[in-house]
Amino acid sequence: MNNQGKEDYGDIGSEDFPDEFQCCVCLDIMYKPVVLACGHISCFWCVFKAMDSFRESHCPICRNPYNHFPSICRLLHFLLLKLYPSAYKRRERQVAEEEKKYGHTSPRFDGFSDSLSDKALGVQDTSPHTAATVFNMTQRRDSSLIQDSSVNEANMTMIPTTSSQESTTNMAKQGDSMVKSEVKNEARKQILMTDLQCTLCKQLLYRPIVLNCGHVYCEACINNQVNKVCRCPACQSVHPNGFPNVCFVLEHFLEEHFPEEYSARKVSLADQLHTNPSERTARKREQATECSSFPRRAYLSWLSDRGTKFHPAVGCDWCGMYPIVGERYKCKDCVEEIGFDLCEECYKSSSKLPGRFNQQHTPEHQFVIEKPIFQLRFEAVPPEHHDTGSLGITEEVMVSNSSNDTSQDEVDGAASLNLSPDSLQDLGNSIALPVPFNNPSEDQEYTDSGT
Amino acid sequence: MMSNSMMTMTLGGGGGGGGRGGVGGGRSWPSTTSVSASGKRIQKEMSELSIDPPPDCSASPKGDSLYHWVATIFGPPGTPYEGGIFFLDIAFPIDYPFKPPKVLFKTRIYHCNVDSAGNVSLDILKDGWSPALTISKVLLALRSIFTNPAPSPADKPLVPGIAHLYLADRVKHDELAAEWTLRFAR
Repeated sequence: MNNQGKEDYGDIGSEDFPDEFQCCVCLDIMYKPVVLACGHISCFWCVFKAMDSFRESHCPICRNPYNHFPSICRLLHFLLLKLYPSAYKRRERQVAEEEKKYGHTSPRFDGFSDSLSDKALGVQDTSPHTAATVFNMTQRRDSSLIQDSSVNEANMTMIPTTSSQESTTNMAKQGDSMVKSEVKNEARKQILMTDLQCTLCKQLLYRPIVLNCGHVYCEACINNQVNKVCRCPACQSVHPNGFPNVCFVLEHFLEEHFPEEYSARKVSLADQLHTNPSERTARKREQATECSSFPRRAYLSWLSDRGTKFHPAVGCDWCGMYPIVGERYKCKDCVEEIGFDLCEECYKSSSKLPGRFNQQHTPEHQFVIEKPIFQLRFEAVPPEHHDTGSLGITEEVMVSNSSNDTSQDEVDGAASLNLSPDSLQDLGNSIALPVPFNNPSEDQEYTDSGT
Repeated sequence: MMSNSMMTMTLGGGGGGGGRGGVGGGRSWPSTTSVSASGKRIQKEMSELSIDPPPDCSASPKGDSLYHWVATIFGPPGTPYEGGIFFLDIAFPIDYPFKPPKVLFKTRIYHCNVDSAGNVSLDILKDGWSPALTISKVLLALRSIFTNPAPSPADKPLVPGIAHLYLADRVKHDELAAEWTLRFAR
């Protein structure tokens, strides 16, 4: 078991990347970065795996609660790929291996490590074919590069996993040649300026915020919108729970690499607004919280409201709500093991976004309303009934997780939760299973012998 | 009726399930616990520990397995544990860092937050765990309970007797703790 895991350890730290781009969970360079509402960044899988399948999740760094799994921030994704290509591609290979092993894939982006899509797009994309190409690319500063990055941003179509598997291995060879070509800092800077523009004001991002959909804007550009709900101008999806915080890692990067431009933005914005932008935001944020698209207390209310349906471990593939509270619409045509589910609100909306994973969902697919997996009953029902009643339901979950035998015992032990209504109060805060940590009787004995 | 009623939540499978504080559960969205992912992370921590170890602490794998470590904490100066060397067993779960490591004192210690079996009550090793925490931070937190035990009933000390003595007669407590250190931790 360990040998299997040790195989790949040799290449850790083969390329240096600054600490600010280290994921706090895997301690490696952030891969497919996801920015939480608090502004902290982690890898796609690191965020997902750290999420709580029963209740709201918390940021690993600041413990800020959130209940939506954000989309990957493509701006950061391409930025990191350009800045640290060999580290980023090493991660890509590792993650691809893992994804292959577990059969679940994260979203793939056109123009990323897929030679087929290069031809389709007809532009040079960020994945290099030879070291020479890279060198040329970084030396040039023509408009095709700007176009290139915007195409990458706009086209987020999904590529079937199977077809991209081959190109990943090709990438492995190409990635090594990357190390040899030293990218000159000056040339690199020119490219990055165009990559770090706000699509609204067409200027260098200032106090960047990353929305739940993964799009990045200046804080002020989003705040200038008239409506109180924080809606993404590009994809029209609503950012839940008010306004996100400034992504400080990205802000520091901007300040460090474009000090003049960044301070110029600061000055011009202050002139424009005649107010302190951060104050303005605070006010905006307060307003927005009141009319949030998603009730903050929803996870408490499902406990008190019998009518509320609750789907642990199931997320909405459009807005990212995890777990789904309310009606669950399951796609019956998606064959991927992950499945494709929507919450009620997203089902009723007309958005046509791709799934949170690499599903091949199309608008023609049909949905069915899925019964909640979660059996939540307040009536006095004989315990036997619970056991048999819920066993049938749990099976479905078991199947999808059968690959994981190792922790089965642990889960079996903790699978059943009996909660009295008295503990409901606590439940809102924590549905943590009681972990048998110590034996009280032992303590007593110990105390006696000790004192 | 409410007093008799039970709310039963039964969940199946899941292994490696999500979340903090030992919440396990089935996922419809994938569960991708992986040996190599946790192995890499542990390997990273190992190299970082060797470069920048926390003061008076050390930790490394026990044998061939990456998932079982031995750590040592030197009793901090100015405490009754001064001069003692305390050995700990650290067991990483397969889904580390999404679940906290299990820490067990192998050296007996007279401390209100460590019981005779070596279990230690520390919030960050239970509900307070975050995947951003590392063994280095855990060792620092453990070292801090040497200097600042948590004896108040609100902290739910594992050994109430010691906690009581700590609050009632600190001098006696420190004497006993020093005696135990001399006896077991040298």
